[in-house]
Amino acid sequence: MASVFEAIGGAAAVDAAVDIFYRKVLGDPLISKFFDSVDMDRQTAKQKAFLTMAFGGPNHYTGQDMRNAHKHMKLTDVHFNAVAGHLQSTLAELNVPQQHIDTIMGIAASTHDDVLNV
Amino acid sequence: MLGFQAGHYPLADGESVLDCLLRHQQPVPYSCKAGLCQSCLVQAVDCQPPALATRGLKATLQSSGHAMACQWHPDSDVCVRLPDNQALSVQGHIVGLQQLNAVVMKLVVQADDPTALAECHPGQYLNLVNSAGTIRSYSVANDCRQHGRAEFHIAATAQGLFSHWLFNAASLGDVLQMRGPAGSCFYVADADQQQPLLLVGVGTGLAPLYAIVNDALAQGHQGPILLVHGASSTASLYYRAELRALAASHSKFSYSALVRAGAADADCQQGDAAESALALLAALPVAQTRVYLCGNAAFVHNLRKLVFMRGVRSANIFCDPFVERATQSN
Repeated sequence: MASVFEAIGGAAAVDAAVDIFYRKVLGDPLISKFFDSVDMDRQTAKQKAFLTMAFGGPNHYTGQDMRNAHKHMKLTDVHFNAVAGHLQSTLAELNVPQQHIDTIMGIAASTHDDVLNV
Repeated sequence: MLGFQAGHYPLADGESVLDCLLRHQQPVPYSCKAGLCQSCLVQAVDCQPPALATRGLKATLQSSGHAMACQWHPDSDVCVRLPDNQALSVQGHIVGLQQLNAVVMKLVVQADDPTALAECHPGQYLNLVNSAGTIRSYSVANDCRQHGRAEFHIAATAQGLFSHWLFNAASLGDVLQMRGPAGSCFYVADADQQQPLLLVGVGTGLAPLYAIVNDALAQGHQGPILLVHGASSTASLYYRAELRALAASHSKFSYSALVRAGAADADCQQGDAAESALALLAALPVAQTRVYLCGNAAFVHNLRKLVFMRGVRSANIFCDPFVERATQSN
């Protein structure tokens, strides 16, 4: 069976999603400060890597990298759920079929403990 | 341990190659300390620099082991040397010095080899090294590819070693070394030529934008080209006659100046350049518009975020934030 990544359009889907997703998190006062990096290029690259992984595409994701990247941010479930919500609404906006959204949200949910360092 | 020239220096935990060498009073040129200006290039000896330290370098530099010392945080022993300046640089002579206003000097440098700058896209930047060894990056304000003659607009800054030299000691015929080019803020003709271009610069941020506008017109860009130049007062604007003439001869090009204080006239208004640019953007198809932002870093980063939030695609935003020389951290 083709992966979700292939089914929704591969790298082009990531390109389409990243701007919409980034705009949502930057526009959310609850979490924008974590994303409001001076270097937007690097921030965009990180988010593309995350989206590719969440879509089931080729990636070099390790839970340890995720832990290290978020270690000193003092994040809670409130922050995690906010980002997850923006991912879900991004996918809905792009008319990704619900079954694929469910798969992607499942992968995103699996990063919970690493992101929050619990 | 960090090997450099004939010496060996202990690296502190997490310290960059540049900071370690500066801490030991080693003569390494540097400027932004942010991985942008490429002033602090070193060459790896029998070791491999990390990807972060080679980000944005030309492929030829990467394959020959060059890296930015400020972005290299070794976790094991490494050895570096200063790059061979002769091999990296293009030599040129000053052929033009003209003050454009009270604080901006136009510097024109002719490369001794007229083909030496053939790969420099209008709007990219070069590192200039004077005879005292002071190195700074400046954007090229013209198309220097064919004749190797590069124009720069250089602002006098209070503590600026290079600009102090330029305003007080430089003269026609002086030798300058040029390294580069670098930067990704330039016009690409293979993109959609119907796209509107919105170019916004403050101060000498006009330099790369002037080059990009002329390049876009020369390459037959079809869509509207809107240039906004911001300055503190009318006295700190420059190139107004040139830009008015360009607007008069190209109907698709328009120019407006914004000043914080002072009298307004036909193409110069009192106001904020960022606000004016956002007002122009509102009348354009945002998803198709290409935006170029140049000038001081705070202005560029702030406006970049605002245009992105208003719907400009991240791939369509090209920035050249001017980064001041960093102070030594220890």
